[in-house]
Amino acid sequence: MASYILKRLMSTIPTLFGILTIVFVMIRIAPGDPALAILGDNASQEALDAFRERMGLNDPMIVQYWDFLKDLASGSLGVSMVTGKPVADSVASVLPFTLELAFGAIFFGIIIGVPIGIISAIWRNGWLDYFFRVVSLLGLSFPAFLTAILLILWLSIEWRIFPVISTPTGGGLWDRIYNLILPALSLGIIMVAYIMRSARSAMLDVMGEDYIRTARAKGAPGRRLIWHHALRNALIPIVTVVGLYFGLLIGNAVLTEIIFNRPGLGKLIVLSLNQRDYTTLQGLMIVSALMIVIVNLLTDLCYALVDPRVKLK
Amino acid sequence: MTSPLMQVEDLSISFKINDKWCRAVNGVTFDIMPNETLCIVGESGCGKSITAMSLMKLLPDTARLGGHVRFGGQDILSLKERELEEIRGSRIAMIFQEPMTSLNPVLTVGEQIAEPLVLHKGMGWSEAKKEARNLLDLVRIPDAQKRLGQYPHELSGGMRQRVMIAIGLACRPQILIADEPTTALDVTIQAQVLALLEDIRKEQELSIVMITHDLGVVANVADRVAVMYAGDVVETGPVASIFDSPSHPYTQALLRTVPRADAAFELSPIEGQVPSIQKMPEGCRFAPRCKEETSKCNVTPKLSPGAHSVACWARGDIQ
Repeated sequence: MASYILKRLMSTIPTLFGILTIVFVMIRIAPGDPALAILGDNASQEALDAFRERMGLNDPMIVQYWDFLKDLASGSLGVSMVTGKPVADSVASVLPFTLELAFGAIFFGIIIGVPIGIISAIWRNGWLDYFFRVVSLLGLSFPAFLTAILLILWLSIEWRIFPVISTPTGGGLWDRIYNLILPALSLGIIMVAYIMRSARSAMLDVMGEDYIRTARAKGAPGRRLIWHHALRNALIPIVTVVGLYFGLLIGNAVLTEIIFNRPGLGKLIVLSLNQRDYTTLQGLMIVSALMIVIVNLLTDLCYALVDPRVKLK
Repeated sequence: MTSPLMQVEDLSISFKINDKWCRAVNGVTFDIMPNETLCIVGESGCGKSITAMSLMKLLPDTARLGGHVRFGGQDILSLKERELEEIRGSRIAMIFQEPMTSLNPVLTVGEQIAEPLVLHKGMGWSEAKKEARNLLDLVRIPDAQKRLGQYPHELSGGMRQRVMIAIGLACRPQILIADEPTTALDVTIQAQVLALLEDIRKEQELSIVMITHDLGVVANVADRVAVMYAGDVVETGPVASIFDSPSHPYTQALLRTVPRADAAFELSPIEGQVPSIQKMPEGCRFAPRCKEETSKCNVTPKLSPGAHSVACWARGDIQ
């Protein structure tokens, strides 16, 4: 198991290397000048030159790339061009908020999506099925920022159940969870739609399998057929979907964090992009890519958990 | 004379195809006697598998059932799902053709065998697992304790079918329905599984309904045979009588399709095809392929009375 995990992590190094190379080049060929963005339009030419010299921006790109790799190899993400603080610190200070948001969204996605997917499959083509399918289509078609705004309008402003602006810092654990619910729900609604659809089709497939007929022939009652015999098998495609859409979730988290004014990777990415803070951006991209790699690994570990035919080697 | 364990009377099964009800099984009647092996034999698509499934009302809701399946003073076909759940797996059990797909891939062998015991005998899981061990011994799977914790994909095909049999026998049913239990297995394994079923039937005083298209299997295990053609039982009787003096033209033709070692014997296929369920001929459904067709054959013949009975207008005492 441990050697499997290690092997998997090692095999992701080329992928990560590719990602960070692309990111490195892309932000440098994009229009905009960090010196101008940071020092402002009124800065003197000397100040701009000095800044560029200090940050190594005058060096050829290949030299900058080499310096960047050297830093990375020594385990450092560099220092922010804007604040001068280590990038690792600023990433570490917001990462927990994005993680709790992402996992909160997946939590909602699973606890709402899986049951309604199963209900839809059981009463296939019944009115409940049609209702849930239409709702999930809406969930898929609504942009994340729109659902977030609608939720704020209803649950925060109209009914005053949740705070409009989520302030996750300070307060106890319960406070933190309370502030998380609305953002996680609005992000989770997209997950609900995806998970519901895959749970429905997975259940429909599984319910037609021979082993379900065997279970019926044993005299197993309907609820046991569904929750014990069918669901265990249907979990395999559901796990795949959850793992796959985690990347999408990270992308959508950017919008959710801005709308709810939450700290997080998304907000930091937008901020550093506006400021042309190359070093922070690079660090953020590496961390985001690493998160997706780890989620993929977790997905594979989950396969082995739900499907005894999967052997991790 | 002993009374039958199960009486199937005028069983018909229809499916809706293109908004039209089509009769896949056309009013079949047969008895299952205690402690016997009844083989239902026929070509693919003649309705033998759905007949077997309807004996415990396992067909999907899209099938329309008619007639009666009398068992233990009840009519299976008129029972509610709750009442059926009590009978399925406990008094009537069923094993299927493809043991790989018929076993749940994510549950251990032990759990799958123990399940009917927990459902019907009120056993706890640990007690049921102990009994499952004994059942694996009964179906002659070596190293039973280890097998209990394994998953179906870790077993061979023959072993999986033995596990299916163990599941079927768990609650000591009165009737075991076996739908082509050896079709997916190698010939040598087939013989072992058939011998096992026969031994268990004798030990446990069980009746087996064996569905097969293989006349070799019939000759090996059957006490009585029901020959089905296109949803009708065309001939039924004791196995020796059917093989020695087949009466219905279809049975005769079917027996001529089995290779034999005698020099004089020539293999002859049955001309034509089984009619499609949507275009069944009126009257005797075999008539279009029959060499002895008469003017009466446009009316459906009934089975003649007696132990060896036949449904054919060309055979004497028929109404």
